[in-house]
Amino acid sequence: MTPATSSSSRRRRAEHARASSDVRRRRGWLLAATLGSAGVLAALLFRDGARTLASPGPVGPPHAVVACAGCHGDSGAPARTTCTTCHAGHPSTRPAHRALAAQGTLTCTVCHGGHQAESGVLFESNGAVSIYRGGVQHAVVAAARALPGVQGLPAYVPLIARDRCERCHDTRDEGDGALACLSDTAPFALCFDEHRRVATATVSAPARRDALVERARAVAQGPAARNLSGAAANALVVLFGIGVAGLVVVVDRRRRRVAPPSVRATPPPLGVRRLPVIDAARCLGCHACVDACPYDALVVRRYVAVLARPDECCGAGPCQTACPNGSLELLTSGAAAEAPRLSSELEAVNRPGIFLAGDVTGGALVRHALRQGVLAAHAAAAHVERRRREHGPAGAVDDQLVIIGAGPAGLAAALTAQELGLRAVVLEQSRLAASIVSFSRGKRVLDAAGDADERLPLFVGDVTKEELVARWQRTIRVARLEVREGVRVLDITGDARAGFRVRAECATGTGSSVSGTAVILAVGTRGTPRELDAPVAPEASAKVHYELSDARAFAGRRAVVVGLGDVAMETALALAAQPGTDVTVLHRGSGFRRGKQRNIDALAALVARGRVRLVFEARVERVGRATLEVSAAGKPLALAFDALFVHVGRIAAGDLLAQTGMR
Amino acid sequence: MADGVDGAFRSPLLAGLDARGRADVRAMARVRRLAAGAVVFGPGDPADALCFVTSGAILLETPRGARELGAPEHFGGEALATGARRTTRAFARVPSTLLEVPAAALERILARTAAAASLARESAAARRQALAALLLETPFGLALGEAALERFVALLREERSPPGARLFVASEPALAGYIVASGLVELVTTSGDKTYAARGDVIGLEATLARDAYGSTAVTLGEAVLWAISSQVARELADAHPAAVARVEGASRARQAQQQRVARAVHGHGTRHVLHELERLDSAGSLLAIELDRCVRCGECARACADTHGTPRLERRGDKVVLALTTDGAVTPRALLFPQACQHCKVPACLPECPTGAISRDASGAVELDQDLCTGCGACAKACPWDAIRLAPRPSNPPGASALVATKCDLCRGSAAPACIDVCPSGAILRLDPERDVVELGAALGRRPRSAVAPRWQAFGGGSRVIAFAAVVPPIAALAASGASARAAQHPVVTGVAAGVACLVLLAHAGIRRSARTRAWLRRRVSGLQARGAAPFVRWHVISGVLAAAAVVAHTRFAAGQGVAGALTFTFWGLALSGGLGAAVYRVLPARLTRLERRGTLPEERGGEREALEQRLYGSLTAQDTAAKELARLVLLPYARAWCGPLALVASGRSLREEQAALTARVALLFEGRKSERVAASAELVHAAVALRALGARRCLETALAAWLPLHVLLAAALGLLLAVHVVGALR
Repeated sequence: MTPATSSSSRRRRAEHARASSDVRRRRGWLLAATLGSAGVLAALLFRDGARTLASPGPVGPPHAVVACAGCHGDSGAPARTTCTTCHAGHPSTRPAHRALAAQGTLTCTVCHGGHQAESGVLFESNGAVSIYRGGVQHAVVAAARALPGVQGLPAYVPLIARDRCERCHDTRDEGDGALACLSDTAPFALCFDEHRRVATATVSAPARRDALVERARAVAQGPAARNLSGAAANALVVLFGIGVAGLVVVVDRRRRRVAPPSVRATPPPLGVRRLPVIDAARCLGCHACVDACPYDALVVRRYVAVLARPDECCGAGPCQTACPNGSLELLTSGAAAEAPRLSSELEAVNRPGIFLAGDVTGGALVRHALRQGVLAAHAAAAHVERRRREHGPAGAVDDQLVIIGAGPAGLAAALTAQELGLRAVVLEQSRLAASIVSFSRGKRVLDAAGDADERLPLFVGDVTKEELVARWQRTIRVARLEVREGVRVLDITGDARAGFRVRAECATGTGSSVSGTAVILAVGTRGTPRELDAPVAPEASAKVHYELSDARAFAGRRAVVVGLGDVAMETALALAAQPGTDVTVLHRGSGFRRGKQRNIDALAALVARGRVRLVFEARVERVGRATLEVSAAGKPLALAFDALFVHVGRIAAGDLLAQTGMR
Repeated sequence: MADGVDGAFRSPLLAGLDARGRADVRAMARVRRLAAGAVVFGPGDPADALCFVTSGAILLETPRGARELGAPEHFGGEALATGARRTTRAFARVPSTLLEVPAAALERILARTAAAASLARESAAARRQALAALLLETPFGLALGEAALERFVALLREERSPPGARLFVASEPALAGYIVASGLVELVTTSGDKTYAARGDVIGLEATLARDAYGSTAVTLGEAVLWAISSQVARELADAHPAAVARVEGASRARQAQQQRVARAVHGHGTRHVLHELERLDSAGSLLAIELDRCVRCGECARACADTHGTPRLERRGDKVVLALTTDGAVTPRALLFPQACQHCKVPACLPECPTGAISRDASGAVELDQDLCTGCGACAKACPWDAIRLAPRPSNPPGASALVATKCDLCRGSAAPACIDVCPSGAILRLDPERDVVELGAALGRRPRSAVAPRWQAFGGGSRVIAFAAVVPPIAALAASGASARAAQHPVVTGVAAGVACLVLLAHAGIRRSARTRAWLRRRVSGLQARGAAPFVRWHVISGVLAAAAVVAHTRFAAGQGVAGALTFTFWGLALSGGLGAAVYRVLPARLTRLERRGTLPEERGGEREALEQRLYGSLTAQDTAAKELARLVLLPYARAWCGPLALVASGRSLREEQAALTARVALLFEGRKSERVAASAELVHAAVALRALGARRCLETALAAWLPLHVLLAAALGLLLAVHVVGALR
């Protein structure tokens, strides 16, 4: 089998195993269920006291202190007959009941129940009254005054539940004698004259008992009696358990969510140039470094990785991180070209108050630029804070930051400044994230997040450059950042003490100036596009472009591209892909000299097919309103054009730095 | 052992290796010791490795006669061809030792030495032989005969195409025909009809011979290996063997007719059918599939996989496909989801990518990954077209090993049954062998006689629904009724013990579902539990729940609760209700949910889905005219936004297609029969509106499927605790 599938079928990124919600969903359930059930038990104990633990169910408060043997005796017989050992005979005042009792059918427990069915009203010494039924006790009133005419509290008045009468009596029958005792609403019988006659108000004998009975009758008819319901109480207990379980799950989830480390990570080393060195004896040829390199600097030849384009290497090290066995190492090889001297807070050493972030510091990765933008904004905010303290409350220190450059570093700095409460204005010479827009179509940006990267503002993850820029535009719009496009900065005057004044020039030629307490330079390394030497007629200046933003707008037009680098070739290819365009490419040299092979191949193919015209040794002499005057190998050539794209290189950003005294 | 390997280094191929090369060979190769008569491989086995004889003698039985090989010769060169199978039988004549070196690894190792050239020559010869062997199985090759075939094959040119490469375009002049040696090619005519050419088919030959233009555009699906027949070779072939060429043309016409029949037949099934998944079905040796009508979306499969292996190797994401599967002779169309899990391809894309030879295949064709050899470079993960290999932290960290290691499904080698299949409560997940089980695949691509990975735990039958005991309920109800009689109240201890034991059996279900060992033990003891998945256990859980309810009724006689006993009863009835609700929901809802889905999605994706669908609706409104916008405002947006809409959709039980038809009918009614093209043009809007309503309906159904379980689990824990307290209290 021949290995090494062609690079177009192999993806650049290996996915990590993700735990989907299926795997995470049931985590913590065991703990939650255990604690929830413990909560249920605790709620039960709280509601009913420790006697609920006894089985088969609680007896009423007076009988709770009696041991099982006290009623059931040693043999465990049902307690029908043992009541009279403590209580007296208590014959019924009703003849029918007396007859049944004599037969032995109507025993004490038939009416009074035992265990679950026992009910009553409990009068405490402090005046508290509670009604009790089947294990559930319900306080009725906590009156501070004692009952009139009653001594010897606490006392207990037994109640007979309605369903005990209904075992024998049929309450639907209007002739039934029990209807005299049962009211429609109260769940308890209200007679209280079963065992003795209740005295009327005028008779004074056993007044204490009658007072208690009257009170008990009132309680049995009251609303509290109706509220005694077993199912609802149990539901409450279970709900409590559910609440406990839910809380446990929430706390568990929160604990598992690992807090990401703060963004204040160290920036990559500045000022040194690092290149990968590959140990050919150990290299596996696995393509991990090739796929990780954002600049396509590495390639695998004969199963060993080789640094094919050292000029493109950024030195930031994703290749070293990706190498599985350490056969690739980044080693220092000379100082980086022209890196400005900065403090560890990214502040320019010789011009305090000016901070640098992004590619201009010598780094080369988008996520490093984001990190540096955040750090620079923090440092600038600290600077503003220091200025405020020095000035005191008297002078007003402007809380505006001027950020030059709307790339990843500048935008991250602006968002962070906004979060920190400062005002930020971003000056950009062309468009938002222009350098990223100039990447090749569909290029993937921001692979492989490191730790803390996800919390960076604007961090998006592994997407194409188009999607990245679109999302950034949306973020900037939502955050209402002030980004002024088409404004080219000329110089920065002032100092940390008095504040800075940035002089700039708009695309239309008008000048402007912005002032701020601190300046963040995030100008990148692409610099400003170089202009043509040839004179440009004023009417034609609108037709001269330095970037292709939307090829579709030029469908059906005549376009001329000056230059033959990667950017020029990609512009020409994009224009040629539009229907009806007439594309001419002018180059002052005599052949393809540089650029990506695939661009060269594609353009050469188009030239061979006649779709694009390529003129070598061409120099633009004059840009007129409708025609371009070109000298091609000495001979004059006039080209009619609708749009002229100038891609003849860029002036490095070092000029602005030099002008502001960075070096 | 030292002698096992050193003998191989006398072979001309391996003689020039330096120390590093030898070390690599030692690491990647496997030493096999064979007794006399032991078989090395037989015809049809997957061919991945070259075998170097280090001692003893091996007998190769070729059609031309037997050949004996001793040390340091090597054999098995067909492994150098992509997707080849063994054509000969090899066995040891005397006790022998072999060194098996994976072919892809050998090419890597030899690339730095002078032997690379001779290996390349051998590889080229092996590839041509593999092509000849392949063609001999087709009518074309049979008509040609072996000798002519060899001469013909020698004149062809090999081409490897990445996925999506265009071989030729319709109406371009035909310059070459192609034989597909590996992979799948899609042919699209100018009118949009699609047919497919697979391994062994010949395309473009007719047009080349007639010096005509190509009739269709050919695009490769997946990596493909093709052999180009130039026009000159084609003409020579036509002159010398017209009968064979006629066979080719006849075969290709028959293939196209057959595929068009299949296309017409499956078109009504669903939006995604066999012809959409052809590449996957053709390449898979053992495909993990979830039957959506049974799947209750509980995610136990992924959880069990993650618990067994430490990292999850399974994700329930994918498109819904409707395929006709054979089940015990019957052919039924089923809605399936193919989750992301290794499908043990017949031509694995990951195998040749591994730089250390950690990926290999066993005799049945299952692709295995040796984690000790893995360096975590991720080349295999990048190569897998199905995203089935992922990188995960290494479970144990011996010094010098990489932090990350590649993981993929390995059919749960170490256990009795694959964990995902074993744990599914409705028996919905299964492993398919597409050639054997997917009827339409054979119809679409013709029969390819080949052995594939024997999927483990493939018991198809017996996966009946969770509740299928309509006959059992009446007797249980009678038992419950009798239990409620007063007599039972006089024996509280007996009924209590019965109720308690029944509750313990119910509670044991949690342990059964969690522990694979328990399930395996039970399956060994009880024959009725053999069917696929945990469905038999769930069925018995429901039955024992009803029995327990009868016992509880006998013990408590519906009394309201007091104290622990009361709470216990309350908890039990809560469990019974939630369990009954859960069982009903599991029985009824999955089929309804499947009808409303296009893809399998996980709950974490739901957040963005509504936004995306609204974007889709508004996006398709953007370029439309006023009438369409009025239609949207009056009909479609209210339809999509109505809060009761999802409930109405659930209640109606309609599928997405039926709902779309209903809404289109409403729209047509609005236009009162005129402007039928307007109705057709608003199809996209109708689709988007229905998708929005269906999103709400899907959420309802998924919530119903999942919501009863947490309550049930909590109440079960409470039941256990309260039961313990109750029993302890009763004993005192």
